[in-house]
Amino acid sequence: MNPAGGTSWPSYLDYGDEQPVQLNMAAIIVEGARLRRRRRLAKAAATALVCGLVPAAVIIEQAGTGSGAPTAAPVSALWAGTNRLGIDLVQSSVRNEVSLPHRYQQVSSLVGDVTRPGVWFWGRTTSRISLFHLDRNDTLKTWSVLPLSSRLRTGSASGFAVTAAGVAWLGLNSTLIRIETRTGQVRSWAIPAPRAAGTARPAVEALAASANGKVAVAMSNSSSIAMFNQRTDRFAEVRMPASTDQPRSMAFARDGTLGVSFTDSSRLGQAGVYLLPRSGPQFMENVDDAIGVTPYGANSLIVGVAKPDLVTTVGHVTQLVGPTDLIHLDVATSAPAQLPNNKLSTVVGPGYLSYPVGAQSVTAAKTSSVLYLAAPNSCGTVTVRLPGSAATQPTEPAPSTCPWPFRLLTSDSAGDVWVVPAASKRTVELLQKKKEK
Amino acid sequence: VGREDDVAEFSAFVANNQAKMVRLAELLTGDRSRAEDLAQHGFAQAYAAWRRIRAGEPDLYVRRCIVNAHTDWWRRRSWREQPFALIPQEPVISDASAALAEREMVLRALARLTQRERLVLVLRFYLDLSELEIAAQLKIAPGTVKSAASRALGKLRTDAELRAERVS
Repeated sequence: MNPAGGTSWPSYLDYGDEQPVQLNMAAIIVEGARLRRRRRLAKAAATALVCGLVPAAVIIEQAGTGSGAPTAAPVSALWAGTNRLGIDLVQSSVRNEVSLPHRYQQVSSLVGDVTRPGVWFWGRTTSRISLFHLDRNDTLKTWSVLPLSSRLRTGSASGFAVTAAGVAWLGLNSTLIRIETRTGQVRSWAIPAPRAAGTARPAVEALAASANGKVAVAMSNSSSIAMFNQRTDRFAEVRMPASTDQPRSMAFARDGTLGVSFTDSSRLGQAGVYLLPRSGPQFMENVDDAIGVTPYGANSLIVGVAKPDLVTTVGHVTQLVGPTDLIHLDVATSAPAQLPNNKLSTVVGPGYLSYPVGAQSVTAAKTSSVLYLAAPNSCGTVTVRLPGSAATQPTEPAPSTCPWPFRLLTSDSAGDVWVVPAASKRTVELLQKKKEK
Repeated sequence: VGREDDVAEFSAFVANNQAKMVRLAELLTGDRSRAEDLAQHGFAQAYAAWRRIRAGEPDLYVRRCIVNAHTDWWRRRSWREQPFALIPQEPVISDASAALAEREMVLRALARLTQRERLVLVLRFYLDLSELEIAAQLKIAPGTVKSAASRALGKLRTDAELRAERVS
């Protein structure tokens, strides 16, 4: 046990330790490189402050103007008011943050607490899953499921939902896990393979839980969803309208209607939403984008991210008018989060965008929209790309920048915005922002 | 020296020192998983400063990072996981070997010391640092180091479990 011969470690404290030690070298290098970049940035910022310089953290790049060269603009002028984008720019900063220890894999789901300010997420090590709740006072609570069975150890597909009653539902590979956070009781069920599944082993693609205890699960490579009945511990399979319709995302509206967005695997770009009311017949509507589903208002759902539609539970579909030219599909990959005052937020290249739901025109939408810029991070400068008309508009991020600042974004009952930054995948941050108009 | 050379050199450094650092961290924390986290944190800090510290004594740098991170970790209680419920889904196969029992016993005895006594004991006798070095690292008076070390040794000498083991 005592590594240095001749040291005075008491012999009665010696013990043979044959357990091999193998640290994760790749994780050390990645974390070390992140720390190094952070130190350099801090040093540069301190130098700029001492010298009275304005750090050029934001570069405004006008696409299609012909020159091609990025134009630096004074940060203070941009952040203070309306700019050429036509919407307000506000600098966001990190108010609280928590990072999971190295043994955890990246945070892959983030769910806002619907009853109080806070956020739910889960983490996984090689031997266990832990559910976490973090509030705005930095209080972190943990519930553990120990140990992982072998069937849960591999795979990355998952679904996650937490009800207002504090019941967390986690779908991992082909297992549904229920964690009752008030009592700590944990139960799990094997989800039956859908009949239409191919040869690939199906895994949970999406999961939704309603306030009245209904749970729906969509599996990969299938054209059906599984409705779980907690009273009987049984799953019932509900088929999608066509055998080529593959569920992508789902959520319960507040009136209990389940909305399942799907794409048609036989027709590229064809998307729809399948509505399953609490009572009455099920029906489908066509939408533009099936990436995410978010409950909105008393009886509506927002379906899509890049081209969101407002879908009422009786089937009225209205395309939202907003600054959608700022939302790029390659960036916005998760459902928009609901903010107070009938607004939604979604991840965009330089940060996140808050935009209104009921605007009548693009101009009106831009007037009420705010682009919250992410703080300069280890990825380097924040780049704002203006939408241009030229076909040669660059869409690829500069090599030194992250393609997007946040991997995940959600909001809680107080309208606080929580994110997982792209630069640090085991970190959950609460963003500080100015009050909106 | 290029970045690839840096990585190769650093990887060799980690390979040669990881066992030592994990064991140091385990003595400080009493928990193998947390010890590996601490060691990994220390090595990541060292990688961030590698070009500056490589020519000196990088192992001392890692050691200092581990001790400091452990102290910080201990102070920030909210970071500690607090399992709400542990529901085993599979039987845990226990290793009842004598070595494991002995190791657990030593860690339990160390856990019965106060945080400061444990820290001082490990730095003083496991790492063989001088009282002055420990005082500088922990930012306390040398006299405090001396008294804490003496108290810790006294407690361990009279620790019932360790005494029983010695007698048997």
